Amino acid sequence: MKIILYIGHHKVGSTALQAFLARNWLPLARAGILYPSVEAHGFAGNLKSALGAGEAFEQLPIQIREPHSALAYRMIADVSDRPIPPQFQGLPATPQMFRALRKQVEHLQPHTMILCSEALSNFGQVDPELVTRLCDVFPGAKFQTYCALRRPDDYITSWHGQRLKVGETPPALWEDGFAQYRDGIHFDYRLVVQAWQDRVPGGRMILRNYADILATGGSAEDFIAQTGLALPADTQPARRENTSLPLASFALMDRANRDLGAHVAHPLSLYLQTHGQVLSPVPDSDIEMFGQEQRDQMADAFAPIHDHLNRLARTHAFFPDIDEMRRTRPVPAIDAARRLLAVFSPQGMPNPALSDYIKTLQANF
Amino acid sequence: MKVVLYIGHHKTGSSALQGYMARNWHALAEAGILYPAVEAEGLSRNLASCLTGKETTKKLPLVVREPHNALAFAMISAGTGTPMPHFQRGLPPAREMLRSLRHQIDLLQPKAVILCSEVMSNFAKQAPGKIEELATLFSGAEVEIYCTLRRPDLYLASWYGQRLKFGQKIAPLRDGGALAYRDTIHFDFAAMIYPWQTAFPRARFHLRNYADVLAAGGAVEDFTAQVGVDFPAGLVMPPRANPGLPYAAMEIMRRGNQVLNRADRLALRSFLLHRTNVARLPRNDEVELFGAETRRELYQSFLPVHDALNRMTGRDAFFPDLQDMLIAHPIPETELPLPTLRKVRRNIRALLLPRAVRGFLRDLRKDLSRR
Repeated sequence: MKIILYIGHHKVGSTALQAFLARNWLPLARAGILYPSVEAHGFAGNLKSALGAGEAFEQLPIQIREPHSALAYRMIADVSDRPIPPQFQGLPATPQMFRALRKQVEHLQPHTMILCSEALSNFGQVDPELVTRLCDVFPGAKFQTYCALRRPDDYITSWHGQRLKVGETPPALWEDGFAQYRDGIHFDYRLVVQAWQDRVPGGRMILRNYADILATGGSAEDFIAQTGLALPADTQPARRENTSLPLASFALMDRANRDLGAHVAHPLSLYLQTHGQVLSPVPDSDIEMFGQEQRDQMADAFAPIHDHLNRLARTHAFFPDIDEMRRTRPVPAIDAARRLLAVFSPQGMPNPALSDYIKTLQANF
Repeated sequence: MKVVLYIGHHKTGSSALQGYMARNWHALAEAGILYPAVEAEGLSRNLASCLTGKETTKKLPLVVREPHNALAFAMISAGTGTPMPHFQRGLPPAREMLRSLRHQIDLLQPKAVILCSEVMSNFAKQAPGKIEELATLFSGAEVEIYCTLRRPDLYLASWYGQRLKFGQKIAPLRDGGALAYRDTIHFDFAAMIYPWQTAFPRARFHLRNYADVLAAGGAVEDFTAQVGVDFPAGLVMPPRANPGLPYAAMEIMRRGNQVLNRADRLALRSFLLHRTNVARLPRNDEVELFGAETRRELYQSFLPVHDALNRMTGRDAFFPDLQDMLIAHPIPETELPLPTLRKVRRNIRALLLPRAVRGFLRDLRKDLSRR
């Protein structure tokens, strides 16, 4: 049996790939390609697809879409004090999840199994032994590892936006925000890839630049092409998932999370994900999130990491446009936020409390 | 949604019914009847049966065949702190199994759910709160509860044989030994059922006499005829499940359990179950396991239980042949081991038994010959 490990990174289309694999669970399983569940909700979802039972999902529950994120977070929690995210609470113990994987392999006898989670990108930093622990569940299997990486200025911006989107209040990027990411997996990609490179038995890692993935057509398309998956004819195409906040809204979302708290600010996040891009007078490509000084720090710090990736990928420049990291964009983040705020109609907000809040911001932001 | 709970009793054909539900899982699910798995092995096998569209002809693993016994053991374990039986180890805890059950009901939206476990009969004495827990889980559903009961002397003989098969070191039923069961669910059938009636006051109860179940053709035939579920046509019957020890071999097994280690007990059990020529042994209805005096005491003790069953079912006599409990069979079991052993000795397959088992049989034969 071949096992394909998709280990991340964050913000490179993993949600779209996971949704593609989950929505196509049945045709893939019939073709001998297993995207396995690890707990009860996922199993029930797969039985539902196999039987064609009940009403179709409007949106796939996260446990069905991202079973291996549940597994990864559970494994991480086993060896660290990192809590399991709230959306994955109530999970079984890791040995039960491993048992679930083994039993599916035993009964369904797939020729290929796919484990896919951006949360696996944390293993190298948390405890590299986790990689070995996972691979040891499948003695004798042939492994292939796939990892997508994004130029770090783009990546950090996108990851920071994800945190704002879900109500966090991280230090603002446009002040000295780069520092919070410098020593972890969100900048030092060596921590993402090296443990897998060292510990996965056999096989060379498929390391992909996100720009190339976009050129291929998206995360699912690139993953399929690169791993050589032979898809059955009846698979449904991938869709766009996990919409992002427009860069112009970052400063507004940051302020709202601090003023209102995550719960109250959440409808604003949803509103901005839906309408922000259209409303924003400044396109993302023109908005500067870091400032020149931070960009230079970032570029200098990334040079050895880039060299490492070049060696791993056996290329001269894994990110051919790496010099773009030093180039500032014309509109500062705060200015872009003010211009977006100016075009908001308070009446268009999802609830009266947010209408009042937007009026206040328009008066004093 | 309808929920049908098969709550027992032991030794009334539950294995056959469970085998039937498990083997026909896919056909039942397609008809909107869910026999839910509760852990990964069962769920994986059910997924596999969806993919292939046909039921396997292979012998199914225990937890696939009897998922709700695993659930019942796990619920008892959660309620009492007792460990799971050795043959049910490595499974998830009860809360995880119940979570699995809820998710399947939520997502598959079945017309009927069938839980089938004779181990649930143990709830009444061991963990009555678990009956309430099930009532809460299925509040809002239309519930039917099915339970088969067997005349207590026949039941106790069969349950005794089951315990011997499991290798337990137990006292014989004769000389008053059977009276020790009087305060348990293995004798006080009314006490086994009362908590279910209390927890499910609106449920429809099917209390069945095992003699009537046999007359209907067996556990599968009776269950599917009695409960209000439309079973699809074309379901396949499983192979015969859970054969019992012949009464004539029980004393050998009982003595073997006292002295042999677990592996050797299993070898002896397998030999007595599958390799003795049952046709050459006295029939069960010729072998007496209790003795006349023990039978009389059992009968007297059972009368109030029988009255309670009559009231529950509105019948004059739930067991019309109850007085037959008093009739002792002609051959006391204590007279049987030696002739049985002589027959075993002539069985060529006995040569393949482990050395310790052959030694045990030889010593037993010598010991009995001297008397």
